[in-house]
Amino acid sequence: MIDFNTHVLERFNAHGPVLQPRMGFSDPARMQAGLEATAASRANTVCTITLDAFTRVNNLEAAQRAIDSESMLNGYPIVNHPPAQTRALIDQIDARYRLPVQVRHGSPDPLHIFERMVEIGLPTTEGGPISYCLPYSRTPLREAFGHWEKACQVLSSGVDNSHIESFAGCMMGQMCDPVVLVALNILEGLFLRAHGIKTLSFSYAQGTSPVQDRAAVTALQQLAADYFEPGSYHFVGYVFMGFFPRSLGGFCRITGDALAMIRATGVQRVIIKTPVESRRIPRVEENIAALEYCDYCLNTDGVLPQIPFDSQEHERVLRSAKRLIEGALAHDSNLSEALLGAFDSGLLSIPYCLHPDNKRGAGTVLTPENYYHGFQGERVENAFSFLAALRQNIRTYDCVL
Amino acid sequence: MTFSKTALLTTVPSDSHSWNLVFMEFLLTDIGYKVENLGPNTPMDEVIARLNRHPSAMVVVSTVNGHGYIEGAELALRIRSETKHTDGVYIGGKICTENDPQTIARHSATLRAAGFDEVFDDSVANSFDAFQELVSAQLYPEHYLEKRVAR
Repeated sequence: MIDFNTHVLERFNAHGPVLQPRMGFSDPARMQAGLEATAASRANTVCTITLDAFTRVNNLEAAQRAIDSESMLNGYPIVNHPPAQTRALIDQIDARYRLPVQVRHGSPDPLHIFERMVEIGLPTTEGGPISYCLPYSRTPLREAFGHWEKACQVLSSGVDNSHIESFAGCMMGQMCDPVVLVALNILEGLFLRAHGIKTLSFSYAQGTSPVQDRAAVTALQQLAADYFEPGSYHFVGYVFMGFFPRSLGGFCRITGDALAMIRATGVQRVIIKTPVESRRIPRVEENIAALEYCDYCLNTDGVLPQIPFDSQEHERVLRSAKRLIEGALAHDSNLSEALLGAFDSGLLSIPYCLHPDNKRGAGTVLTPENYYHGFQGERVENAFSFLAALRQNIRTYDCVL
Repeated sequence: MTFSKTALLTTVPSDSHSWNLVFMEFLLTDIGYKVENLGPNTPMDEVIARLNRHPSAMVVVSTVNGHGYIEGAELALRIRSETKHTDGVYIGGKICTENDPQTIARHSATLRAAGFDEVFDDSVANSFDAFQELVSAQLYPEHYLEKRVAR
């Protein structure tokens, strides 16, 4: 099986950022067509199998009922489909295109998924005990840590080149100070590494200003170099994950800003969005068109804007994220206990995250430069100023007159 | 601000969206309610248990994943049969996966029959102002009466 991290680093050096869709279908024939189309596209790609919501919460009976009644799920039920069938999908992409496949799932308790990946021989996935627990589940954080410890041990001992991407750069999708995203990436990375995962990637989701994003990703890269061995990781940038522009022009402009930041910082992999984001799940052709559009932007002179470097904002993110990382690690000599303690004390907290184990004292404001800055204490916004901040990128990129 | 009435804010078990709940919490707090926000993927048992422990002035179900017409109906039936809650129960957001007015009207009728006092689907018509007016009216009945007289 291809080593995902090595593959991404090599392809980045040869051809620039590697592009990746979100893609998952319940029907194996459609899944195969989607993988094949991604691999055969004119863009520099890696492939994705996104799992369905029932598999995510380990409700395998519900997934089976949907398969038996031929009802469409919102992803590929990897545990219900026979392993040989999934292995055949992966082998075909490997044999024909020499491309790896990443499994994307969103589960606070991924043991059943990782066991199946080991059976298939699939080493590459994403998530983490914090990033897949707090924003999308009611699982107590302590339980999620236990689940992920076990699952990581199963994956790392079961395959040669285990790779996990920390999803911590995407907490809540928007309205989060990059200081928190950067610190959590490093902390979750340390957890994954401590439980045997061989190579890592660190994520970062586009915010409301490519200038702030460039400053933040630069800080993330510096901190990663402090804590992890060179060559054992890469970075992945996400096109904006919050309330998304509705027009085709808005899609092109917001994607252009994300790619410009990615090119300026040397981020090696990109998770793309499509123009139908604000309305529905994209079809395969829409994903391929978006991948090829991104490829065009990255490889055509003069398409992408220049992104200035804000050294003051970079310094702020670097210094504050370092303080959070060191403060969290100081809570306990056991890493999981340290991170649990840091959330319990409120040192670490995710603004607007409703999970019971997340302290809700923190908020986020948009500065005059369109930067996300965190604050503690009394809220400063009302319902409508808050809604306006959530919709900031619609205003910026759709430019409704 | 002193909060005299509590609003229980929740969603249906399969809905993992948060931003709608965060916004509704802001809105209801701004209007003057003390809000208890049960967060995404709320198990129905938790809503029932909570209502049996502490009465609320109203229950607001905010859902956007398209399963509201299925799970919302079950939740309303359970609230009406398993708790003593007789005050308002409202649902809003995107109640189904379709957005044609006939389908929304049909599902809205089902939800009202199941026990909701009002359904505020926001995918086609702007039902949001109506919701805001209604919850304000419950908190400030005199003000609301004056407004109605003025009309």
